Amino acid sequence: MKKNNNMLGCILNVMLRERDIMSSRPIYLYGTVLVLAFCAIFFVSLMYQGLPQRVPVGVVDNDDSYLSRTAIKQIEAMQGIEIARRYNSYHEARLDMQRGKIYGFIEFPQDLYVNTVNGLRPTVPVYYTEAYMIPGTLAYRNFLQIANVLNAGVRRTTMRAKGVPEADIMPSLQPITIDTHSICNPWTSYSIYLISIIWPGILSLCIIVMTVFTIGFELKQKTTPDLLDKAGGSIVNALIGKLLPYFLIYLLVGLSFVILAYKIFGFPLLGPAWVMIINITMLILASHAVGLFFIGLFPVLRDALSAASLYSVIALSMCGMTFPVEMMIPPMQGFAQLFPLRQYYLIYVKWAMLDSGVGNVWINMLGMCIFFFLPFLILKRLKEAMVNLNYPTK
Amino acid sequence: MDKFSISDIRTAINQMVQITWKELRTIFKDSGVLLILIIAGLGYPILYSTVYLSESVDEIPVGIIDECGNSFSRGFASKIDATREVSLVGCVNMDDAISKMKSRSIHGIIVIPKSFSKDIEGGKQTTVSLYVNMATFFIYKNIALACNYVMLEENKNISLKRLSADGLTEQEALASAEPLRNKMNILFNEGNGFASFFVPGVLVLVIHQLLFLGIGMVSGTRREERANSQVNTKEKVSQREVFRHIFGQGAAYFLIYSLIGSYILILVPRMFGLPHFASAWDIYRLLFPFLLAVIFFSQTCAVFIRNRETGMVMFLFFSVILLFLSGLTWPVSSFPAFWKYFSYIFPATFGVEGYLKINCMGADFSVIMPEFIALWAQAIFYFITASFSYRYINK
Repeated sequence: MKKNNNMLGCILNVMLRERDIMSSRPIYLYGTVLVLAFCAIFFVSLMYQGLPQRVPVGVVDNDDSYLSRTAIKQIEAMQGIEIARRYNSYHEARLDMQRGKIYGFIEFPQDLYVNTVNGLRPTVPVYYTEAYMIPGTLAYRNFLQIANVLNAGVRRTTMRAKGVPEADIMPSLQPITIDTHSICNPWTSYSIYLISIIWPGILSLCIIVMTVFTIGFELKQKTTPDLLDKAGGSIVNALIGKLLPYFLIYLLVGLSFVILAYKIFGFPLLGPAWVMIINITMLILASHAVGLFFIGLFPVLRDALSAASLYSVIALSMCGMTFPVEMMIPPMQGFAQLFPLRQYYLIYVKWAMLDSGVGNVWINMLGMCIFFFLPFLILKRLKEAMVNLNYPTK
Repeated sequence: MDKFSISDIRTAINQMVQITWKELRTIFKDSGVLLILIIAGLGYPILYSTVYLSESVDEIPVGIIDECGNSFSRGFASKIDATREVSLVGCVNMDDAISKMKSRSIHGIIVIPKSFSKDIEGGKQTTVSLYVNMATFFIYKNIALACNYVMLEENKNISLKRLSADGLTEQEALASAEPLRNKMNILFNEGNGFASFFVPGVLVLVIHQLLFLGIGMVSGTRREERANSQVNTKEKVSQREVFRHIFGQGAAYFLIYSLIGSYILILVPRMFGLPHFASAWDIYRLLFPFLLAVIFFSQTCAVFIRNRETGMVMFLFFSVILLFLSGLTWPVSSFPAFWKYFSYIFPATFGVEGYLKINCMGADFSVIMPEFIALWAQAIFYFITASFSYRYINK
């Protein structure tokens, strides 16, 4: 019983020591709170539209007829795209696409109207780019709609002239429609989709780097004997006391994100929101563990930091939010498992978003828990480095 | 010719070469810097290209619930199944489909209503429901694309059949069913590949970030050593010498990165089958001001970096911010004005844009004149600020 008290006392000592360290330099506040607040403001304000509105597109009108002018009016009425400029030729428009001024354009050929009336079925080509995937796809989707509206318009006129009853026209124009339900993101908002993973990704990155930094800096400054001394000689006490303040700050920041995103901004979830609290807490813990692992593996600040940086930046690609992991080559699928963010993403999508229940995510929770044990692999090595102070001078 | 000025230039060049040589030795003696500048410079582009090696996302499993269940609805379903993007998985009912969706064995659900064939035969409009989830962008995009395509084709076929039944000739029926033919053409990244879209921009960012972190590390180390040493090694430097230092040190990075940069921007795209329209000469023309701008920018920012490692702690997260500021994911046309101007601070913004335009979209070099000029302007501006920064550090 006495020993237990002692342990708590030691941890408290280390925590108080850490408080002094943290208040001595601005980098600690910066790396824990300011970066994450900046990122939250950055992403929310950058993508406040949710879905990009008024994507700039071009029009080449070689016909200048009633039909092409009607079509242009219809394009102008669309929310998703906006005519940035009209061009005299395909080449002019293509050049502006290379300049990044437009993401797509439609070309009305000469004699469009005459050929349509005569039943010659003229072709109306649309060009869009996949070199910029999001605006290109939006341009495509809107132009497709325009093409349909246009076709329907011509046919409607013909049918009316033939005396087809109004109620029969629409089904006849479009016998099959597809009603798309975007589950958990009915507005197909890119900001919800992107922020949900990118912000936690940066959180994880900050935690890994700060964990490496705060321990590595002590090794470098050779202050670890003092740290161990305050911790009663126990490395476990030392690490708990040292990292607990960071954990608590990150937890506060992480929970604020969860509350902001899923309660205040109302990012839709079919599953219970408390799953996200568990999920982000696990992500924070796992990131601390990964950071510890790096500094234990390379007990030299600069090496550990370089390795941890290279690792944590690629996590955003490996989690599978843009390009599915299932479609990567097999070695990469295995590699993806080495990132806590991958498990976070799967728990979020399966349990919180689609309400799959714990049955479908226990394997991912287990995967997350494996990270918690990583530090035990390097405890001995780290302690030796802390005691022997064999930090290279250069 | 004034003799004095010639010897003056000679001393200047001599001094600069010495500084460059010294900087190169510093870099190659420091394992941490080597890891960032060289090992990561060589390895990271390969890693990124390998992650997205598969390029396209084909045969995505999508659940189908065919409530109609006759040959007509099966025909519709098989057309969706036949697309490159989608592969259908039969589901008994909605519960079955939802549970498959939850375990991620399917990524979408298509429901063909019971009245499907009856509606169409009776001239009524029928609605097929598609349930997708936007958790993985590329999956979402491809499923929607495939279903839309099949729907349009099918609509055309149904109209044709009806019109032929009304006694129209094939030509007349076509003209009536589809009075205007629309043709959707992709310009640039025609294969709709994810790697071809994403990796080229990342390659430029890799150069930007590695140089930035590497230079920050070297100058942080230098400041730290100076702060720790007892002797005051600071010496008064004239403005001329400041310029020589910035040029001399910058030249070391420039030398290394003109090699690694050409490996990243010229060789890697060819190795991994990514778009490579630009000639090596055009890429060098862009790389030259880009490297200068990045190097002087990094030397300017050295003022914030007091320790060897703080640069990495402070600016690592910026890699993600720069990715967004480059306009690769979120279109610049939808940027709020503030972030648009903010993005002009960073050489990466113009570097990525310029590189994408000439190398991925095959643009003529004259097209990227705005980016080219902006990079030169940045290079000059950051050279001046780097001299202030140098003076402050060595105050």
